[in-house]
Amino acid sequence: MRDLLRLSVPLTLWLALFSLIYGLHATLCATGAEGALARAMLAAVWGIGVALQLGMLLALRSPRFGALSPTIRQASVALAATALFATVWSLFPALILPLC
Amino acid sequence: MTALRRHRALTKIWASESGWRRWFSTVNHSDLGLMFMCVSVFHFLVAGVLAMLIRAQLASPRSAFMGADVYNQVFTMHGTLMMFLFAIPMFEGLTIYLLPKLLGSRDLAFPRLTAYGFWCYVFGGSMLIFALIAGIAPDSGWFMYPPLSSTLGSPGINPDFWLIGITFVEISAISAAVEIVVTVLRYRAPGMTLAKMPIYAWYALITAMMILTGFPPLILGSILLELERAFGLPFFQVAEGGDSLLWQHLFWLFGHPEVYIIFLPAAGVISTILPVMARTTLLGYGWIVAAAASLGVLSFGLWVHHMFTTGIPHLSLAFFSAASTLVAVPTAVQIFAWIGTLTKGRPELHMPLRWILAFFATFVIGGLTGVMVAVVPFDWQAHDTHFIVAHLHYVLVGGFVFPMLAALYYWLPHITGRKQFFRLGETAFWLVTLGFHVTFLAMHWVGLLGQRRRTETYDPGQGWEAINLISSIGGFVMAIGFALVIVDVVVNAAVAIRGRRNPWRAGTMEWAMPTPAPAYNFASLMPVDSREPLHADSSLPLRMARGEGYLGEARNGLRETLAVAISTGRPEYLVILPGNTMLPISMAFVTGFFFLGLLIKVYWLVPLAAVGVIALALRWVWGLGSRQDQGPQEVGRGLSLPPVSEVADPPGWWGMLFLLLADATLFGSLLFGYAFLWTVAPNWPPPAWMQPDPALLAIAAAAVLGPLGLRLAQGALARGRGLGAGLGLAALGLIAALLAAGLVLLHLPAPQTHAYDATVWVLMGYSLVHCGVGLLMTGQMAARRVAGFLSPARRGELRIVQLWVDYATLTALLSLAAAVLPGVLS
Repeated sequence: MRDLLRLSVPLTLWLALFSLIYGLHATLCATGAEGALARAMLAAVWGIGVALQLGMLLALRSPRFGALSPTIRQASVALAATALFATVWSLFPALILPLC
Repeated sequence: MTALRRHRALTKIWASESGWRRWFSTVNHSDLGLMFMCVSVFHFLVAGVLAMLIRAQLASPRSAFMGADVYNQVFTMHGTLMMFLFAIPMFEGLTIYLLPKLLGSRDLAFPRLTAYGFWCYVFGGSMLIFALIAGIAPDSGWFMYPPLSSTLGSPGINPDFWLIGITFVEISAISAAVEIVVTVLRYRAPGMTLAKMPIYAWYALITAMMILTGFPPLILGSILLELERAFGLPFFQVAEGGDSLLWQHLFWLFGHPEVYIIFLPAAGVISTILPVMARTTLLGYGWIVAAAASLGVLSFGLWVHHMFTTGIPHLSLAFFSAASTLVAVPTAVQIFAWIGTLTKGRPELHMPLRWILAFFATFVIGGLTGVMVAVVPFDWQAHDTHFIVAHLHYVLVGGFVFPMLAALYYWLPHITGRKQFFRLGETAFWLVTLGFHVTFLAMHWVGLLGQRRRTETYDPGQGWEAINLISSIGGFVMAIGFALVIVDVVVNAAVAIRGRRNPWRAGTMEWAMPTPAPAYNFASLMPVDSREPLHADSSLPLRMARGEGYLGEARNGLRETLAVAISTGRPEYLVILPGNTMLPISMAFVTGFFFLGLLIKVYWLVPLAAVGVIALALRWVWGLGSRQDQGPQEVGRGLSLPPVSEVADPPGWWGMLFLLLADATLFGSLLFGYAFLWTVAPNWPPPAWMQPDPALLAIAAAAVLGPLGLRLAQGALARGRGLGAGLGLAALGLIAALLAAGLVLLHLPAPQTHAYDATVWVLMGYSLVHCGVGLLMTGQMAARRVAGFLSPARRGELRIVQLWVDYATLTALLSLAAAVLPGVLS
């Protein structure tokens, strides 16, 4: 079961962050909040997300949290790296594009 | 005991009934897998005929072949049949047939559920085929956008066939997904760790998880749209606070993952067959697992790329555009791994490899046009043109149909026990592939010239005539090719000579058995510590047949198999699987009346059928378990294991866990829809919010007695005491939750008033159903305790009920909170 968690948690976290930023953006636009505070909130979620993903990647590479099976270890680290890249890439527009 | 005697004894236990009853009472995964595939091929043929009608219509401008009304039904049904009644069931059928064999197990986790899913698929599909024959088929496009599909655009019964028929069919998808997940996790050969699983099992696991989380939004959307059509609940009516865009979100939350639900099994087939054809091992097993899992999750972040032209803010479009480009990376990882596998081996060009090469050429083109339409400005130009139709056919035919044809030719000797003799398949290959590319390359072109999809005719003089004619000729060539494939398969299956076992010299477990497969799969369950056990030990089939593995003796007339630990594959307990029964078909039949009552609006039939389903479900569950403690049982090779009735996490517990995952996705989609309407839809707020009432909140708080009571019952059972207090408390908690939901409904304005009232109505309905089922399950636990099914050793089923009651209580409280939240904030 732990191996399944190692494989599934990083991208599930990406999905949660993606949904959170999408929902937050929709809510901010719907309530007319388009100023610096709105941008800061989106940036904060993005930053926290990237930090969490980085932590996850390092943890899965460590002997303490990493998988014992070399195959599962390789796959889980690859998935964590994918999740980190996906978080940076797919949510980066929140930092640079006009909000609404 | 000799191998032959063992074979006869096991066959007597595991075989389906003889004669006509076999087709209706079988629960054997080989039978049901083949039945699934045959019915899905039937739907493919019907949908193929419809495709030819479309091409006949578009072959010339101003064609009088079909009128708009018929054309609308034809293209809607073509897409619907291909997506829902061919592609997904084909995956289910193939996986149901193959999975236990690949995993070295004797059957799937829940054989009766497999049969129930199959019959739901048959009955649901029959509804749609009937509608097609009767000329009242759905006609609003395969994605049923309201307001075209609502009563305003389609006042007839046509869309109801889609909404109700497809929801009925999706029962089979959810059933199969639960089945597949639990089988992959728990029903493997002893010693088969996750890392040693055959690659197809990973793909099946990921696809099944995607079905569990991808289908519920569509089921919810179908329920909401049907509620609007039948009872006027205005979820998609702007004037009353609804929004037709909500449907698009729910549909594509399902629809985009659906593309990968279709592609991933095909990728699993390629990853399985390609190394065998190349006489080598799969390059980058771990990378492929990671890439498949990445695709599975990333595909849930792409749904808005089908909605780029709906006026969504640019920033939101950018999220989905970025995610859409991202998904090309894991796809490319798999493609490169496959190319690497080919280059490191010595490929032999048999029929399966031909189809895989056709896949490469076709799918890569489809993937590249996919990247093109992921770019927002390009999509604005190409949206709703034939360019999109061509792109999706390159992805779906190239990415699913061609690999399935590879699978057909690869596993046909396994299914029939014969070797390919006639060479018709090679002619068919060239006709299909050339016909396909002529049809759809031309369609890209005419799309870029501006031809819109879903339009029954066009005027001459726009430069489209010759291209459409070429496309239609290509389509008919392709159809002739598919017909030849079927002739080839039927002739080979019927009259070709007997083949030898494992004709491809593959290393996976399905080839370790005689062909056609015996009903029990493996005479004994051998320990496995390699991804290619037959290459690691060529004597494995013989040793299995001799009974040298676990469960090598046929005893007590019971269908025995083993469940293993998830990660390590260590044998954990002995499972007794159910025998042949008419219960699944009976239950599917009665379930059909539930949906039929809704469809033809004979509403008295609906509760009657619901009572019938409940009665059969209680009968289904009553036969499980044991009335006495048996203790550890000898399973061979000096090992004793507890029976399934005496473990804390029986397969049913895992099945319930993953069923609740699907259920939670449906509930989450409902909350998403609520939040979407609240924040985005026009004409909000509603005339009145529901106000929190202290009495209501007090009653709702009492709902926590449900989970608490079941925990008390668990403790009492562990100490061998009575369950009355615990189960009574649990029942009280569930009644409190039912009462709270009922009170909300009593005080709510009519659900037709506003989308808010309609949403709260659905939330409360959801709670009523779940808490009602929880109450029934609690009552059944009391009855089973009296009947002697529960003991301190046999308490797994109480944990299953606990899972349900915990979930029902949590969602009931969340529903109430969601209902009163706007009133509190305002």
